[in-house]
Amino acid sequence: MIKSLLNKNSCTVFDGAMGTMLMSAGLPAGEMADLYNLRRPDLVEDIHRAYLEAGAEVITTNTFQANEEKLAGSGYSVDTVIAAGVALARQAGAKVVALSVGPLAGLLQPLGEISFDRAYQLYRQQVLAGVGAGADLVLIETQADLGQAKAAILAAKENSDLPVFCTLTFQEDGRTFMGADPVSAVLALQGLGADGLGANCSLGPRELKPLVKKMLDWARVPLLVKANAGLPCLETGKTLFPVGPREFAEQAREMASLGVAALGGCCGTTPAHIACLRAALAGVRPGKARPRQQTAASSPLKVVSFSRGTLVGEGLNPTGNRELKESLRKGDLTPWLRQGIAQVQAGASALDVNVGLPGTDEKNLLLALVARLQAVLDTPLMLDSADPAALAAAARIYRGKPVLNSVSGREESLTQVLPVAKKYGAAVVGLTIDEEGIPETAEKRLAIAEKILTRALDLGIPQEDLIIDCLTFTAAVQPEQAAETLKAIGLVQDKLGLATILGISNISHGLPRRGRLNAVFLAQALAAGLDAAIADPLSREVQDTLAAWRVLSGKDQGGKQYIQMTAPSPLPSREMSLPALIARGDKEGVAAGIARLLEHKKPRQVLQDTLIPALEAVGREYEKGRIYLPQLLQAAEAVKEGLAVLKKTGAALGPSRGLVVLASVQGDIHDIGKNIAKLLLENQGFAVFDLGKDVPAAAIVAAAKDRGAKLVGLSALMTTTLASMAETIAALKREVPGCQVMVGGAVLTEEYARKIGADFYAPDALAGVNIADRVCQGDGVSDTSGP
Amino acid sequence: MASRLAEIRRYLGVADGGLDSLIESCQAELDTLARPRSLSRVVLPAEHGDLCQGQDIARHLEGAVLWVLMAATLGEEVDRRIDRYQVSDLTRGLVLNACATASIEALCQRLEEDVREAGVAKNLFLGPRYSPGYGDYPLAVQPRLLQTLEAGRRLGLMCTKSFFLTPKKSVTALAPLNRTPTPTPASCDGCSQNHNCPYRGRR
Repeated sequence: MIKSLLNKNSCTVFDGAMGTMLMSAGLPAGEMADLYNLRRPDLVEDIHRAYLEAGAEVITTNTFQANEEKLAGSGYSVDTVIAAGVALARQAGAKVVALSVGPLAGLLQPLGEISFDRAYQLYRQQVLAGVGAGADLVLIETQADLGQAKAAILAAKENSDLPVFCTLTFQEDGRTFMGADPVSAVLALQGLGADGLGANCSLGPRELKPLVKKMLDWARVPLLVKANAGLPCLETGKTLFPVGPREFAEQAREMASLGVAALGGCCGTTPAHIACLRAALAGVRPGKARPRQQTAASSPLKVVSFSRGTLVGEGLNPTGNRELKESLRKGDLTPWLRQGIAQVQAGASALDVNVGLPGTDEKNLLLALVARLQAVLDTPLMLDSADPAALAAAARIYRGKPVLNSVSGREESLTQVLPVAKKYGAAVVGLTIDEEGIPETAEKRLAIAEKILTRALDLGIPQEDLIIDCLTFTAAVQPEQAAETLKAIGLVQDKLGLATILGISNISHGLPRRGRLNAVFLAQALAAGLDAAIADPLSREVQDTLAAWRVLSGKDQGGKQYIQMTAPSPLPSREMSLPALIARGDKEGVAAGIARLLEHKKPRQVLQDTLIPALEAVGREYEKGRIYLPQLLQAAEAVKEGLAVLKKTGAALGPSRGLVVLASVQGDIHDIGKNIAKLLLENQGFAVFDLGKDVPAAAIVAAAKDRGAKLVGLSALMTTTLASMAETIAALKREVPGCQVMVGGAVLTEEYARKIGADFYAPDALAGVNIADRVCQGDGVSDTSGP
Repeated sequence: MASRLAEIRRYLGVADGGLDSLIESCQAELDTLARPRSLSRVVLPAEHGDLCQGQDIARHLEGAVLWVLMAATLGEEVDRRIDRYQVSDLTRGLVLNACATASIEALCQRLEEDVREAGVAKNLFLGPRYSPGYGDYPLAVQPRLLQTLEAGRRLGLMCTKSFFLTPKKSVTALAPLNRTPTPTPASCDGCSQNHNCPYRGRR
């Protein structure tokens, strides 16, 4: 029904606001309009009827908030509210009934506490209720978060055969509350199988128009726009919307002529607006939009095109990196996050993420790492795995449009990986390798690329979403092959019109001064037409080559970036003493200083004679009140940098002084204080197992038990989570008898710490170190008075 | 900026200078990340009695003709960046966090000023604002307060099951509109948590 509506030669007209109408009929602001389906069904039905009479072709149910969490405590179930909502639209005479599905009551993890799976389940429940009640399409509305929108679209696609529309809500600065802009939204969502995308609420038609234009520029699916009747202004308790029906309709008609396929109204619109809209759209043929065909990946905040010199960081890969390997085995992803951040700071536009290491759970590690990287970086990710199940799991939770790395010409790969790319709307790297290995000629590699392209197109994957990697052999073994790779890049571009990518660093495998070889090969590949390079952004040679390439290819106009990059950096403070460098928190200076000391001293000596005394001196200054927390922290971070240099030597630095388990208790999403405690404890030689924030008591108990911890540190910031802290302490005391508990956090007092059964109260992070000292030396006496 | 700088130092527990350049650079970074948004709504006390829970807020709002509900946020990007620095640069994370706290406070003060001016025009006087979590005013009122303000839809401001506001750098508050100017400014003496507050004595 709706599909035939959208395929006709005119715009489809949706209805207008429900909430506005209910409020003018007496619904108090802040009340759940959805409950009126049961309390005042007559009113809701009348509003639907008024919109039908005004000419709306699609009626939206009054079920915007009808999810389990928002209905909790209302006395009504999701099924009841949605069944009543669909029935009222039908009774009013609607031929096409759209099930309205609004955003959830909270933010997704890690900023909030709703997991992706939980979001999916909540939306699924609504979709199933809508299907059961006989809705004709699912309209996911007013979304601000691409993660939630994705969960909702997947829930609708996987649990119904109904057409699915999804509209986002943008603010005056052109982004959603969660930062997504129109282009990143379209890129992230259109590949998920939505039948239409668009915008609703927040803005009037005039403000929405430029945003809609941006969407049209990229959208391959029809667009739906439901604008507000202008920007609301508040007059003592009343919200007024300034745009009248006629102006609203004129603006809407312009959007139709630009290419918008369906229009309706949101807050502040009335049947009069819809009547005018219907009249204005009569006989208007929706304009024909011509979406770009550009290879791109995205995060909610960034869109990266793969074209002429895009740098993809290769560093998130265990191969050849001992620290990353070890941390993967321990399940500690912090070094990976640090590496990712460093790669981005060094200029990577996207990051390749590969956690493949024998003996580890690749799928779950990839899932966890992708979630954590996206929590702190807005750089698009290339999900890299040989396991199609891992690729699928990561693509599912990825916020934005990812790149899958990779599919090959092998039959098994084609049948397993391409459907994943199709389902999640991902771009995919195609390797020119098949059952017979990597062909030695460029022409044969072209043939494999062509085969992959054909198969991708067969599945409905757009051509621009395939990026070909022509692969390279190491020059140490087959030097003549470098030229074949470069030739293949040109062929793939000329004959197939596909974007190309190349892992650069393999060329220099087994040869000395790899950076130089990599740089020259990178320059050759760029000259051959390469779009994106997977390389090491931290390599000076790679940085220089790309910067020079950008000047010579006209991308860096006037060489501004180049000049900025080559400006001399401040001289390293070589003449300063290590303690002075530590005191002022000069990380690079400390690392360099330690490296120099290692030329004639043993790592353990450096630790004992230099690092520890310097750290202790800073601690004393802090305790005397001569320096403050930020300076203490700066020094501690510099020491940590120095310790890392010592650890890289592989030398034993002495036994760990004991294990401390740290966590912010369940319900608490703050962790700055806990992280400071962790840093100081680690610097002092304690092993810290950090469980993160919002950690259930059971997980803390399990960690303390499994690892035989003598000390657990708990943090809570607000009164509401103190109960959770008390429960955790009780559970620890019950189940891990030998383990003592220290607590800290803004709302805690010594008195309260004692009351909830803590052994120690740590007023600050340094106090935590002193407590650990005592407990782990074996003379830890239960004492809430602190050190 | 001078008073802002002093406030940021106070949040950091830093008495004198020495961190000025770090604070300034964090403040500049914050300015590129923050998307300050705020809203207020004037309500009749009789219609929203459920927002007045506990003795402290009752005393605070006593005799008010109208109540002003307020909400303000810096947006989620600030949280994400502070989280990034939890991994890559704790010191910067700490200082950026303090800058953000000072900024949300400044945003609330601007919002208060707007409401105050609007009140004066109608011969009403704005009293000091009071937030859930102050005194014995329970955080549990947060969902109701957010809902009445429609803060989710209008600001993207929500709260968790433990009543933490998300985005984190956000504030909700109530303030009375009185017929007469409020005689005394807010003081720590009136707060039931005054024995237990790291920021005691700030006004």
